[in-house]
Amino acid sequence: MGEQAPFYIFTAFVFTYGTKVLQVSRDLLLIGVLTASALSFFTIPLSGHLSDRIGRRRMYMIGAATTGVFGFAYFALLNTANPGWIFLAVVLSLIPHSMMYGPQATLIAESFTGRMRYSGASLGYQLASVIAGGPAPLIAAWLFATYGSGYAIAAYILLCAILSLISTAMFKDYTSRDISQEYDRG
Amino acid sequence: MAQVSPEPDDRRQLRRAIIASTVGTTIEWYDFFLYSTVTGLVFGPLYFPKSDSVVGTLQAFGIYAVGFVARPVGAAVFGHYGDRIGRKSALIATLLLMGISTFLVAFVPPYEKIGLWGAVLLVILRFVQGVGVGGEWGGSVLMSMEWTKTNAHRGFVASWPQFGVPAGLFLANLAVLAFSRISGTHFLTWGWRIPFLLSILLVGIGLYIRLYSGDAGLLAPGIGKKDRAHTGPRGAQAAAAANPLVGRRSHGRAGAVLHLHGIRVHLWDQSPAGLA
Repeated sequence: MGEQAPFYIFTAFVFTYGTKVLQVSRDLLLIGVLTASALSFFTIPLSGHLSDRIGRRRMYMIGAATTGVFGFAYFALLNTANPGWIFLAVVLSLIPHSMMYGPQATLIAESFTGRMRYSGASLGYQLASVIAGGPAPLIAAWLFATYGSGYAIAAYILLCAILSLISTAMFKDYTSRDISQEYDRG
Repeated sequence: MAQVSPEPDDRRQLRRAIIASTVGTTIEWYDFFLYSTVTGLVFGPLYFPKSDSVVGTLQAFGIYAVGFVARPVGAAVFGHYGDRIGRKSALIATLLLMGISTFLVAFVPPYEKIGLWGAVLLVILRFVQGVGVGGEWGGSVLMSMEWTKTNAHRGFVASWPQFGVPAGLFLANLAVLAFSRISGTHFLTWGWRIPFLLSILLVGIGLYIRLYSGDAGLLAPGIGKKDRAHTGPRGAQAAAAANPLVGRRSHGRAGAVLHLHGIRVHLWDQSPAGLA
C-alpha cells in the first residue's frame, strides 16, 4: 500500500501534474524519472542487503516512514515551479520507495512455504495493486481537482505509509531463518 | 542413480536464476511502464478527444487502472500453476502474454479512425498486460530467492528481480524520450508507437534467457518435481519439456533421484510436504 501508491504518483501522475499544473516540459520530467530510476539501480539492492543485516521488517518500516514524510517535501519542491527544484524532487522521489521495495519481495515471499509460495505471495502483493497502485493516479487527480493543492496528495501518501507501518508491524520477521521446511500452521 | 552435484553448481544455478528473473522482470516492467508513461502524455488527446482535458485525463487513467485490476487475476492463475507445475513454465507464459499485448498496442487506431473502439481495444490489451505482470512478479522473486544457499543473503538476492522495476522504468522512459525527440511534432501520430513495437524484440531476448534457467530451487524442494509424479506421464512430459536439462541438487534431505522415461522424479524421505 505505502509502496505502490506513492510509486505511481511519482512515476505516472507526475507527468500530468508537471505538464498541466506546473507547465514544465515533458522532457524535463522524463529525464527526471530516468535519473531517479537509475539511482534505484543502486538503492534497491542496497536496501535488500541492509535488510539482511538489520532485519527485513525494520528496514521496510524505516522506508515506509521516510516515504510518508517525503510526500510533503516532494510537493513543496514541485510547487516552487522552478525547473531545478522540480527536477531534484523527481530525482529523489524513488529513494524512499527503494527502501521499501528492496526488502519487500523477501518480506512477502518468506511468509509462505514453498508449496504455496507462488500463489500466496503473488496474490497478496497483486491485490494491493488494485487498492493502492491502480487507483493512485486517479485519486491524486481527483484530490487535486477537489482541493487544488498538491499537499492533499501528500496527505494521501502519508495515510498509505501509516497503513503500511501498521500492517508491517504485524508481520512475522523471517530474516536469516531456514525457510526450506514447511513452517506455516494450519 | 543418485546425483550429487558439486558446490559450484548451486552458485551457477543461483546466478542463472537471478539473471533470468531480473532480465525477464525488466522486460515486463518496461511494457507495463511504457503504457503508464504514455497514458499521461498521449492517450487522453488521442482516444478521448471529445472530453475536456481533465475528464480525458481521468478516462485515460481509468484505462490504465484496468491493468491493476487484472494483476490479481494473473497472480491467482499463474501462482497456482507455478506452485503445481513449476516456476519456470509459468514465467515463460507471463512473458509471452505481456510481450504480445504490448506489441499490439502500437497498432490501435486513434479516435478519428474508429471512435471509441480504440479505447475499448486499449482496455482489453491493458487487461492482458495486467494478467502478465501479475503472474510474473511472484515467480521471478521466488526463482532467485529459492536458489540462495544460506539464509543470510536472501534479502539481497531477492532484491534483484525488484531491480527490474527501475530498470524497466528507465528503459521505458528512455524509449519515450528518444522517440519524443526523434518524432518531434509527430509524437502523437507515430512517435509514441515505436517503443511498443520494440517490446517484441525484448521479449525474444527474455524468452531465450528464461528457457535456459533452472526451476524452483533449494528452498521449495517439492515444486516442479513432486507434482509431476502425480500428474501422469503426459503431464509429466509436458512439464519436463518446459524444463531443459538442468542439474538440480537435491538438498540434504533428498533420498534419491531417479531417471524415469527421461524425466527426473525426485523422491523425498521427508513426507509431510504436499500432503498437508
